[in-house]
Amino acid sequence: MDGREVTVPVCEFSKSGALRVVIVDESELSFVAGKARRNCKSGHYAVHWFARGNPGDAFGMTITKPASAESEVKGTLDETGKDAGLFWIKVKS
Amino acid sequence: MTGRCVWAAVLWAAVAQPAWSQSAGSETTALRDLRERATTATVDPSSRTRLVVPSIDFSAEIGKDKKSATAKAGFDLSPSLTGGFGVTGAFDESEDRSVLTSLRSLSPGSSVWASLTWKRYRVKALLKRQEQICRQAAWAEGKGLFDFKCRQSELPTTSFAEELAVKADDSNVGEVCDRFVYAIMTPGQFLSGTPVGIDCRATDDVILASVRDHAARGAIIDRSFADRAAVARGPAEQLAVCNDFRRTRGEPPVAECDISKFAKDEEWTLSWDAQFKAATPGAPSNAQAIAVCEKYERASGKVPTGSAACAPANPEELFDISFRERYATSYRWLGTPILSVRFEADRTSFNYLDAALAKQTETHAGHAWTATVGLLTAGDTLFALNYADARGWKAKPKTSLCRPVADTDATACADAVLGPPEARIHRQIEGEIKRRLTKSVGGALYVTRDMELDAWGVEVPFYFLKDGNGGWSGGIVASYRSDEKRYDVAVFVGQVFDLFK
Repeated sequence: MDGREVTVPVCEFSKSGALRVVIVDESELSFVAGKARRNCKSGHYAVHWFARGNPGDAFGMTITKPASAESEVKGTLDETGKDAGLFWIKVKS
Repeated sequence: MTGRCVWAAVLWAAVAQPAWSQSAGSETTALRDLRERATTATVDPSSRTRLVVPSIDFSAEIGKDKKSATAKAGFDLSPSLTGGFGVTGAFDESEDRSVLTSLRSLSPGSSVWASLTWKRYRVKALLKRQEQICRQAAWAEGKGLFDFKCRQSELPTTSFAEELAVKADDSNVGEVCDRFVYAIMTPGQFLSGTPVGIDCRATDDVILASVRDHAARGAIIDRSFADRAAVARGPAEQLAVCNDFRRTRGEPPVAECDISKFAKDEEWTLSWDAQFKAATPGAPSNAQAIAVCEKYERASGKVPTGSAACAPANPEELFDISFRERYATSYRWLGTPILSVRFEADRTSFNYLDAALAKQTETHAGHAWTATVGLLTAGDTLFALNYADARGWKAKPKTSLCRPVADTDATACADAVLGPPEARIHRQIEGEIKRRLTKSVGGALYVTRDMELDAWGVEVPFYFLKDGNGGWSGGIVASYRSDEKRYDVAVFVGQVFDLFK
């Protein structure tokens, strides 16, 4: 440890509705009141999401920071009450 | 009547203003320090505001002898731990607020309650496999990774193999035959309708045999109109090819013909042989097959060859199984364990008639502890075991009371409660099963054992009445309790069926 502080981009996520589990870089995000954040170094990340609820329930997720990774997923559950998917984001420092 | 309240957003903004979003203008040293730490690798969770209000709900319930309204709020204390509190007001003038015959109603009057629920959604996923499937799906669509949102419910449900597969209803041989017949007719035969020896209403095999006969007698079936036009010697011969082609469409000859406008037309570019093959059941048109193969080749990481034949020699998952089916098998939900405790304090006013038939009112307070252990299965069935310990009061049952009407010989009868309420202690254990039964009906089963009363009860509600949000919030309930040996069936509204709240 040489005492230097290294600035690492912080990714900020928000989720709503029936979105239950979000996994980024193989680790599950911990959402409190629909918000989560994690440090993310520059690079490409796959964001896996899993939704589950009552048929017709809405769900959504947005990545608000950093700007390079801004993206949004939203949808409505069909009669199975389940859905899942993934997308890739780029994080630039 | 359930509604998400706009106040949730206002309260959230007021209570949950997280440290990292403080404005720079009013930044104190401590806040600045916090901001700096939040942008380094060393700090993250500590800068979260832990107490927020994600939701507030209002609901109303109308029972046989009870009208009530409830307001409740939820607090996320951690990713899996939710706190809640609420207020229920009972609004009616009934002397007996016991709902139905249920053993389950512990707090008949107005109450306040607080709860703590731990619920953990779990999923087991093959993440790398999901990424592979979505990369292939993106490339199949000709899109880059960052332009593609991979969503299971939007992935194709048919495999490449199925898209190229046989469909018995897809035969188009008769239609090709009609055009072929026009092609081999002379203009005179066309106008007079002279038969040329092919019955295009016959079976595919008979038609194809007739076509082969004509080919043997000189009909050109192995070259397309485009091929013939390309080798035409001069404009007159090219015009003849054009008019032959127009005749296949039932159109009259013209003096000038622009063949370039046919360039993308399969009927122009494909030989009769190829058209009959494409029209045979199971064979998609050449262009369709090429498009499917292009997708498959891109999904395989290859440059599209323009070939209509791309089926791999051996079974291959990418070719034989649809993207959606593959994605669906890449993960599965696990059971969701649920632990919950709840404390409820209630205050109930009881109206009754005393021994002299004078109206009396008593108000009593009670309380109840409830603990729940449950599991929401991957198939969305909720199993729960509830334990309740309650100290409360219960009105005596209503009886029919008849009294003489003054100055007449008549009597008037009405339901009334005779005698003051009795203190009650409940120690109940209850099994609960709840699930969606069909697309339009949800059901539950509660079996309750009250150790203090030495009684048991059963309650079976069916939910089918929809609320404004499309969920179920009412239906019909049947119940039974052994101590009073009473059955009841009633309509209810206001109790929302939701396995996920």
